Amino acid sequence: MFFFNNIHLFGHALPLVYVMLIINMPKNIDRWQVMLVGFCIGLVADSAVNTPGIASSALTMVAFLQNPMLRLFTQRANAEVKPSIREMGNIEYPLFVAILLFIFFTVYFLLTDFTFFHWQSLILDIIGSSLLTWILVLAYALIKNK
Amino acid sequence: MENLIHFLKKIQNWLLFVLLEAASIALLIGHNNYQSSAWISSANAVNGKCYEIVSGIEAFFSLKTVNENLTKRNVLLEKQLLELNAAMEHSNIDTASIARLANLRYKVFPAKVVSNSVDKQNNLITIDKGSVDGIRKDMGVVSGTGVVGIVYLVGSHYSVIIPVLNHESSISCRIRKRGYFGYLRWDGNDAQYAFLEEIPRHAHYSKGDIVETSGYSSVFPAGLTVGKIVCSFNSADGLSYRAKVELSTDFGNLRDVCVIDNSLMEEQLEILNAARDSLAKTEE
Repeated sequence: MFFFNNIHLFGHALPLVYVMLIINMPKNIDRWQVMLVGFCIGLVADSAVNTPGIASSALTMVAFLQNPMLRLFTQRANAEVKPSIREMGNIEYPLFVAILLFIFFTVYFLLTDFTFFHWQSLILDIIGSSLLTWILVLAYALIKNK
Repeated sequence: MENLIHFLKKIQNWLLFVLLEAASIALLIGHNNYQSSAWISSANAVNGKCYEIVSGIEAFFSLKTVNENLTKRNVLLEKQLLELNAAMEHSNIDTASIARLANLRYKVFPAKVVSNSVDKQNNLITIDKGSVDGIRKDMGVVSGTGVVGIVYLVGSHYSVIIPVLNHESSISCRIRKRGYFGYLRWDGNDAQYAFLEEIPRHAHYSKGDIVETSGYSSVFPAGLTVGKIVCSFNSADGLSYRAKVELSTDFGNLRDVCVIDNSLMEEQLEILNAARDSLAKTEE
């Protein structure tokens, strides 16, 4: 966290890989549990960068949507699905991750800016950060897959 | 009642979601009241420690800057020491000379070496300061440990220096406390050693004597360390001595240097020469 917060690629891309912890939560864990964990991780992340409420809010949002999204992308009735390339597929998992990351960073930067005034910069922030984090999450998934 | 519990259970996820989001927003908005939220900030012990470690690591990588400042400081202190020493030497004889020495101030520009070589016959050093920064041709360049060379080419933002390790280089030097003069040249072999040439035959000096700048030219002020005499030979023509000098500057590991603007001294030399000329003319 302390490491990644120092990376601000091209001034717009902020890789916040802790979102991965919520994204990769198994399907069989209750939604309320995922949400509480998300809120707590967000709070810890917030405390490190002095932005109470921002990451916790965004991560709670992701935690709330993670389970329904997972259901959408996994056709099988299998309850023990853990989000991964092997379980979900080469296209489904990256897409699943991308959507959740995009939601996270949209909330994150909207709350950070609290205005649409610099909307070009806002869009760049959201897309850049989502893309960079997405690459890192997929890289991790590929390494784990091997 | 059962219906209510059933309903609450059904919407428990939504309830929790709204609750947590509300808590987050409350934190976000209440952040102005800093005292109440200090524990979820970088002021808490865990984060404080982590940041301390991170800043420790960052400090390690900024050692370069620290080093640069220390080099600058070192040069300044050395300059002060020399001035004080010179003032003390003269104070017994002539107190007016102290006032004159006080005027012998020179400006120092810190610079960074951007390219450097020690393995060629004619090495050149490039620094990151140029005419925009006040650098001019023929200024002296020193490092924290000793003399480096003389400014040769000046661009707007970069300058090329002829270091001691170049056949073109010839710096007027003297042996500290003994006062014998010679010229410092390099033979193109070892980057650690240069030679003090044309030392008069009657000179007395010994191994370990310090070689310093003579101050005879306006490039370097007198008394800057050059190196230490390691051994001595007869010159090729046998008319003078040639001393091997271990250079105090580590050219292979040169990062921070200082360019000396000695223009005030230049002016004084000009006046001195003008005075000599006019004296000579009146004698005629």
